[in-house]
Amino acid sequence: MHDLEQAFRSALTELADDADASPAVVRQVVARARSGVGRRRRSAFLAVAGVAAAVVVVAGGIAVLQRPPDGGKGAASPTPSLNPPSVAPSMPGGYRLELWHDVGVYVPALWGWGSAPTSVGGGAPVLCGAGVVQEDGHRVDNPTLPYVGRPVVLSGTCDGSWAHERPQAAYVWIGGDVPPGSVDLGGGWVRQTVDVGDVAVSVATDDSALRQSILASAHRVTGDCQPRLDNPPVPGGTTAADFIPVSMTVCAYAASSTKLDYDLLYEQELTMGPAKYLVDAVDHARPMGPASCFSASGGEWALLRLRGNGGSFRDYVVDMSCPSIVDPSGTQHVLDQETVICWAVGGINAVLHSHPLVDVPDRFIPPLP
Amino acid sequence: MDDARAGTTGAFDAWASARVPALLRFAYVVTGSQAEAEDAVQAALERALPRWDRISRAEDPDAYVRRMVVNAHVSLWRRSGRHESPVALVSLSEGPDPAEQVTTTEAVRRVCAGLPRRQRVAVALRFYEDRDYAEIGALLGCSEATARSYVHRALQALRRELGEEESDA
Repeated sequence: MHDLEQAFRSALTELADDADASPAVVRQVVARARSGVGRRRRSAFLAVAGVAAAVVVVAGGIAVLQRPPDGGKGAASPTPSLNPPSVAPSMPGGYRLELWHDVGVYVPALWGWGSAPTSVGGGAPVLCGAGVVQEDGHRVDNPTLPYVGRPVVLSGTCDGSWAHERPQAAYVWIGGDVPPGSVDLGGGWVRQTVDVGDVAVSVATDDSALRQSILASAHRVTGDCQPRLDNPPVPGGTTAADFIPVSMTVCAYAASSTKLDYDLLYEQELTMGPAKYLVDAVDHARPMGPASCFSASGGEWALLRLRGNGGSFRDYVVDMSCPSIVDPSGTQHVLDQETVICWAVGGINAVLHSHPLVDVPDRFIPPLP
Repeated sequence: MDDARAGTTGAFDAWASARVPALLRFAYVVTGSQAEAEDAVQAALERALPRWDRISRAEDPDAYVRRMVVNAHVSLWRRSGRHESPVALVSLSEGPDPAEQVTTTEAVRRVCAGLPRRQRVAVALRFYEDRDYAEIGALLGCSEATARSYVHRALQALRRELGEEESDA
């Protein structure tokens, strides 16, 4: 192994010498940085738009994705860009697509949402968040409920003993700080982790067919939301009073650790009902004064893109740290019960942290101590 | 231009002329591409400039900007949605066995070109910059164990690469 390490050292030193770091290049790079001239190889990232029926292939035939019968409230799954393998075991409700950054994974549609191991302050990864968030946003402290977890701190209580702990229910972790490989958790339970680009996807279950099918469905994917933004989302689109939306895409973002950009945490497609409800709610919401904090950097954000007929659209932007919701004219409105409940459904309540001024029960992650 | 702004500009220029060459070489090792290296450094400097007063007062402004280079690189790559695999550039170096050295160098470059981005950054930090795993984890925002795992997998990939070449010969 030592020889291999030495090979890396020698080759990388040689590689570095190939770089053109002449004074002329240095001056050019610094001058471009000063003037804000676009970088040479940067290319625009175009999100794939479009709404389609979410169809998944399950054992024994084709099934249309459905939300849980008791809590869907008109919600539909994100537009899939890939399907789970045809060998996927049949699951009640089928499968739904879960997105994190630029990776998508199909998980059983009735599973809730939770946390995944994350390294807080550079220490060993810990799991911060007991309880599983349900479709309607409330969390249930029941370890027998399966869930899909993201590396988000859901509570002030963290557990560092997750690595070899046998769970009482299956889980999928997307983006967890977990090394690839398989871990025998005992009793027939196995946690298997694979890397999809830079994102680790882990599945723990005692059902090997389910584990393999979920892992096989993990791919880099672009949904309706851009996986990463340079700056916080901005409102836009039509301000027409007669705008009638037919769907709504919810994109949740948080600033990356260096505040350089914003990563996609969650995406969900909602139907006409919630979209029309939101338009009406914002129209009637109290405008905020001029001292609000819209366009501040950092924080957590939601872009709510409503689509109408004929290519029309309207983007509302939610700033969780303000907190406010901004319409396309730039007017800010309070984030209250009416402007929240129609879009804060499902897993978004396990990725965005609430604000003391947002008084909406069972929505978002409660303020941490 | 007032005195404070002139002072900041002068301090940044002095730092840039001294440190940007090394940052470009580091970025080249991380990206394997001159254009991407320049882009990553430019993006980091763009972010650093408006807050240079604060950064320059930090204990280690180099480390701060280097972290920005790493993140800018990962960000640019993710946004572009593509992964440019650089052509292995053969540069003969002095050594006991030039032919073997070139083969190993090419193998390292091929392995690096095929690594996921964070793994490649970990390899660059470990073997080009001699950073320990705790520092690599801190720079990548992951645990020390995960950083170690990234590097270990790269070493395994190089072993396979060299083994395949031996069997091909």
